[in-house]
Amino acid sequence: MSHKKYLNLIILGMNIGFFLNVGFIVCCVLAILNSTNKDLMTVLIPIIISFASIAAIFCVLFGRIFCGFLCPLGFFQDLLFKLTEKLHLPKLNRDSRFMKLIDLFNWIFLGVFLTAVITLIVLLFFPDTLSKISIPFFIVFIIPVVMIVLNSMARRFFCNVCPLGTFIGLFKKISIIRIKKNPDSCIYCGGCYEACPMRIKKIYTENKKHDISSINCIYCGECIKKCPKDNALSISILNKTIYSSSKEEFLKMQHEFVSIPKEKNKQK
Amino acid sequence: MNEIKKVNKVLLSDESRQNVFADRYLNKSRKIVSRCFQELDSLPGAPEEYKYFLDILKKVFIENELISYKENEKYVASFCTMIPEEIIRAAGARPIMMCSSSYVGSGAFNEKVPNIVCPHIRAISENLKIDINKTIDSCDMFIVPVTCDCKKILADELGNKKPTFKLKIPFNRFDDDGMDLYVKQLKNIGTEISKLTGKQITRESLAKEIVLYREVQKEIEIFNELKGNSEPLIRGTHATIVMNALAYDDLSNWCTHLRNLNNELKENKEKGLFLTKKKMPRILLIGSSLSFPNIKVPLIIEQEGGIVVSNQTCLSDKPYDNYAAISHDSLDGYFRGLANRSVKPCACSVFPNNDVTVNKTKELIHEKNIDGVIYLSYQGCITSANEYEILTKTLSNDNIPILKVETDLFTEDVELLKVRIGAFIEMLNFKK
Repeated sequence: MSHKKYLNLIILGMNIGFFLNVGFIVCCVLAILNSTNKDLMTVLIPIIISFASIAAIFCVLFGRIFCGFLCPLGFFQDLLFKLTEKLHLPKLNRDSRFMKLIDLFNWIFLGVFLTAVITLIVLLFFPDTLSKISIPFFIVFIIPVVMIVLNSMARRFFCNVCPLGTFIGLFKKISIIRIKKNPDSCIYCGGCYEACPMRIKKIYTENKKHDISSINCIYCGECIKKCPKDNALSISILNKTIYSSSKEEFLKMQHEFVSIPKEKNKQK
Repeated sequence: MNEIKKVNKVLLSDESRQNVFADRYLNKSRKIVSRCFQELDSLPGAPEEYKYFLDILKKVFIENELISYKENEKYVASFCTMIPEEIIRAAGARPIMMCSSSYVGSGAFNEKVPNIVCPHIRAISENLKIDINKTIDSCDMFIVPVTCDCKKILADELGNKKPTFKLKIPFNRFDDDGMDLYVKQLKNIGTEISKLTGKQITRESLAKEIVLYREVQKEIEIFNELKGNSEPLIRGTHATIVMNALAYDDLSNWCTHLRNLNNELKENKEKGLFLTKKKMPRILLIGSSLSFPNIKVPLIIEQEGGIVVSNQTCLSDKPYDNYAAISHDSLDGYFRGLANRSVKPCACSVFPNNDVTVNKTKELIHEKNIDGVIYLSYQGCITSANEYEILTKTLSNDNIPILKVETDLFTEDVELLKVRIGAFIEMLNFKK
């Protein structure tokens, strides 16, 4: 339990810190836009840059933990999936062909995203052309609808193709957060693979290396919750374990998850 | 002998000859089983509650019928532990484990079945030909997981009698497509059984069975802990009988009796009533399946002065060790979780990756202070031979002695086994 408490505290701290940071940046930008005073700009722009770099450094150091716990879109997806799970709809089948397609889309989206960002930055210097660009309405409308439908069938579907997440994931080697596996105590039950919203097969198949963090991992901790072996899987920051699997926790969670239907409870 | 056969052919009609044949084999089977019971009785230190489990086996093997708890109960026989029992139970039928029953039929059809073949397959297919086994007759459906080539043939033979479902097992643990196919087949089995019973599998009924099975697994875990106590409370042979009885019994009934047995053993532990006070070599038994009339290996181990602390063969502790990890709250999610539980962590030698067996053995050796490992394998089984080789390599690094016992279902090699196992146990005693 102590692990869980620490983890919750860390996540809460990260959440507050990150959103204060982003909020501050947004406030500064709004202040610049609404005032004509040029002195304010010279004061605020360095502050914006420094705070933005703090956010960037956070993302590089802690990797995709941003996706797991901080991303508002991720939170929305979790909420949506929990709602659809209450209806007991079947999950999207992870066919291997579909998976390959998703992997391909992932990189295509990253390319599109990066070129879009670069062109936007370039276009900032030509304000006249910027105002002429308009995005067709149907794209703005269709993409969220498709994402919502797919997301109700598979947990965190958008994260599988999210370009920002993949971009952060590229800094995997520098980040201090790691997900670790003890191959000697693994029983290869496949619970982690079944639970993983990012469909990472390495967690389940790895039998030699201890470090199993990958570009796609969002450190959501689902695999650890579904691991029935003590200390077989763990998340660590700077080689210090902050959350690891345990049989007791697993059984408790499974007991809450799959319980006897309501009829029996009424009889009691 | 040939002359007698000829005379029989002339004198008796087909039907009456079959009857004489069946009677003779039934008597032989009873003789074998009662001899086995006698030997079990001669082992001292059985707990009181143990009689219930023995009675179930007596009913099945001597009276030749299954115990029914409900009227019009449907039985579904499964030929491997890789089928999740919960699905059969949720569809309203009772699972019966037929991994191998009596071996009396073996050798009756020498011309048709080759000599060196898996003895389990041989026993079942020849019992089918003699047609005396009422327990097989009373089953309404068979499920045969095709774990090896022999089982394909067996499934065909069984298919002539009753509806049979061939369940294709994934090639290896990491085969995604195979796993999807497996889940699809499990769903088909569910609908097939519900056609028999008229009860549909719903999310609620399956959840109920999953919860029940989990409770049973927890009880078995307590039993295993008591079995592995530093001073012995129960003999491994008796524990094997307890676990084997589950194959023919109703799950919840069996569980209540196991709870009683656990309570009895706990009381004994508190009072300090142990089997013996002298130190016996603690032995881990792993390998191929071991089912009731063929329990000579644990019997010999304990007659020679060792104690089987953990029995990791099919129909004993092996299938009940792993809990199902369900990650999606829907019928589909339950099926996937159960399929994962019953195939992926199964320490079966048919899978090309033997890491599971190696890890599990190492863990058990460490956990239960094992002195020696006995690997049970049957004639003609190449997969277990391969697994044994990998095991010896890793265990020799840890300096744990391992003995391979290759045998069949007959009792002819008992004296030979006694010499080998006796020497092994003496060596372990000497090492201490």
